[in-house]
Amino acid sequence: MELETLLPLGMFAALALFLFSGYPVAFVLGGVGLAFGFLAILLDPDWYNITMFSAIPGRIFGGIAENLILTAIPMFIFMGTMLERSGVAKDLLYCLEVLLRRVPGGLAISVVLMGTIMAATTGIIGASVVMMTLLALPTMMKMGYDNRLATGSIAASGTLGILIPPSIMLVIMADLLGRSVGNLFFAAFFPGLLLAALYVVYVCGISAIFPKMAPSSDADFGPQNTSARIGMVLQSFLPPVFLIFLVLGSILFGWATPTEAAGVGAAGSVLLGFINLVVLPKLGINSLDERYGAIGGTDTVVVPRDPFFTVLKDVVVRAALTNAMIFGLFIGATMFSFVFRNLGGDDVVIGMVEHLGLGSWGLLFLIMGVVFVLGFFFDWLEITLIVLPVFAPIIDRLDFGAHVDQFEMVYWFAILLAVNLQTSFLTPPFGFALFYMKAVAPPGVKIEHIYLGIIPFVILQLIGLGLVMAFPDIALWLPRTFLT
Amino acid sequence: MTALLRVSSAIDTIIDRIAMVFVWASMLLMFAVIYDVVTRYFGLPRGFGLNATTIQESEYWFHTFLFAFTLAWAYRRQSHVRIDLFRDRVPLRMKYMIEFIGCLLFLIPYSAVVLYFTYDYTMHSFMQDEVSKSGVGMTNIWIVKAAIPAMCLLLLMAGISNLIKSLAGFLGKLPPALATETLGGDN
Repeated sequence: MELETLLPLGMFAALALFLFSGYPVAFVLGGVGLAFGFLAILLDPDWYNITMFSAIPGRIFGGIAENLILTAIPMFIFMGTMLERSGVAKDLLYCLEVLLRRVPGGLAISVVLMGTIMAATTGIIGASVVMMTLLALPTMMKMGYDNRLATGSIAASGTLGILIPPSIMLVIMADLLGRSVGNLFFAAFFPGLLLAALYVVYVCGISAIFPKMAPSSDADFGPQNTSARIGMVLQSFLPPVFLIFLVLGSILFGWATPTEAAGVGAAGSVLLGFINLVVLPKLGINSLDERYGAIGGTDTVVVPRDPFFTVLKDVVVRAALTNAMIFGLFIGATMFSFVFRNLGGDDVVIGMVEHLGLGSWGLLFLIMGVVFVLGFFFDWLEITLIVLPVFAPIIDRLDFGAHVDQFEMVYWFAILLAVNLQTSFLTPPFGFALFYMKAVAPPGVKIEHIYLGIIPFVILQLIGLGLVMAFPDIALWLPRTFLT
Repeated sequence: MTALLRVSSAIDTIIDRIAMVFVWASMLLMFAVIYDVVTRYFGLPRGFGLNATTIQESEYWFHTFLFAFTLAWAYRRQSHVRIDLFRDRVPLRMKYMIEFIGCLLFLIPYSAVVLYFTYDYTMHSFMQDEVSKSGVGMTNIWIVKAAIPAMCLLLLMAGISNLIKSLAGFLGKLPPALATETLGGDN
C-alpha cells in the first residue's frame, strides 16, 4: 500500500491502541494527531511541512470558540445540573412514585416517566442516572424489586436525555453536519417518546407476567387527602413543565434561536432553584420527602435542602467541569481530524467504501453497525467527533429514493445515529450509564446484575431504531409540519 | 523530588485559582443571552451603547473564557474521559508509568505546539487591531483570541505538574493522598 493510504489508517490504529491506555481521550486525540503530522513531515518533506499546523489556531478559534451554536452546550449543562441540585427533580420522582404506587411495576414506570420528563428539560446523562439511582434504586430494592429490572429501567431512562430535545448531542451533530439545530430537535421528539413508550410497555408487561419481579407497594406514603395530592402534583410538575415550555416554546414561537433557548432555560432553572430553595421554604412549603416521609414509606434518610448560594456555586463548578470535558474532546479532535484530512484520510475512507460497492442501504447498515460496535467501547462524544466528520462526505451522497426525501435525509440519518449513540451508553462492557450507576448503587447490586438488566433495554433500543428506519415519518413529520 | 513536588503543587494552585474565577463566565453567558433575548423581544433599548451584535458576540467571548481557563483544571480534577477498560487491571506503578508517558508524548508536545501557533495567531490579531467580522460588534478581538494560547499554557503547566507527580508516584515518593488527582479512577 502507498504512504497516502497507510498513514490515515495508521492514525486510527494508533488512536485505538492509545485510547485503551487509559490516558485522557482528549489528549490522546491531540497527541496522536500531532505525532502523525510530524511523521508525515518526516516521511515526505516535499509535500508536508511544519507550517501546516498554522491552520490549527483558525480551526480552534473559528470552529470552537467563535461558534455561537456551541454556546448552547455550557447553558444546557448548567440547566441540567441546576435542576438536579435544586431538588426540583427529586420532588418530581417522589410525586410520580406516589401516583403510580399501586400499578404493577409502578416504581419502574415512574423512573421511566421521570427520565422522559427530565430529558425534555435538558438531561445530562451522568446527573440523571446518578440521581435516579440514588433516589429510586434503594427504595426499589427494599420493596423487593428484581435487581435486573430495577437497574435496567433506571439506566435506560437516564440516557433518554441525550436523545429527547433539547439535547447537547443534537446541538453538536447539527454543528458537525451544518444543519439546523431546531429541525434536529423536533425530529428527535417522537423517536425519543417512542423509546420511552417501549420501555413502559416492557416494564408493565414483565411486571404483569412476573409479579414477583416488581411488587407493588401497600405502604401508604405521601399525602393522604385529595387536596394535598393535588398540591403535591402541582408542586412537582409545574417547575419542569415551565422549563420545557420555556425552552421548546421559545424555539417554536421564534422568541429565541435554539442556542439562545439554552440560555433562557439556564436562567429559568436558576429561577426555579431560587423558588425551590428560598421562596417555598419561607412560605412553609418544604420538599415532598421532608413533609411526607421517604419514598415507599421506607427508612431512606431524608436529606434537608442546601442553602441557595451553596447550591449555585456547586452547580457553577460542576457544570464547568462537565463543559471542560466536552470542549477538551472538541479541541483534541480538531487536531486529529485536521491531520487526518490533510493526509488524505477522507479519500481513503471514500475509496474503501466505494470499493465495498454497497448501495445506500448497505452503507447505512454499515455505518450503523460500526457505530453500534464502537459503542461497546466508546462514548457518544468520541464517536460523534471522530466518526461523523469522517463519514460526513459519504452521508451527503446517500440516496434512499422514495423512502426519504433527499432534503430531509440528513436529519433522518442523524436521528438514527442519535438513537444508536444513546444505546452506546447502555451496551456492556463499557456503557457509561452502567458505570455511573455502579458507582452510586447500594452494595447488594453487582455489575453482573446491571449487565443482565440492560440487555432487554438494548433490544428495545434496536426495535426503536428499526422502527425509525422503516418509518422515517416518526422523525420527520414534526419538523416538516411545524418548521420550514 | 520534594522540590519538584513543590513546583507541581505551586502550578496546581495557579491553575485552580484561575479556574475558580472563570467558572463564573457561565453566569455571565446566561445574563448576556437573557439580556439579548428580552431586549429584542420587547423592543427595549439596550443601553450602554450596546447593539444586538455586540451582545451576541460577547456570548461567544464568555463561552471561550469558560472552556479555555477550565480545561487544565478539569484535567487536575480528573473530569476528562478515560477509557479505563484495561488500565483497571494493571498494577499501580504501571498506571503512573502510563500517565508519565502520556504527559510526555501527548499532552506536553500537543499543548506546546498549539501554544506556539496560537500565540502567533493572537499577536497577528493584536498588531492588526482586529475587530469582529461583522464590523459593528466587539473590538479588540485579540483579547478573546489570547484565551486560546492561555489555555495551551495552562495545559502545558498541568502536563508538567502531572509529569512530576506521576514520576514521584512511579518512584513511590508521591503522598498517597495525591494518587487520585494524579491518575483519576478509584486509586
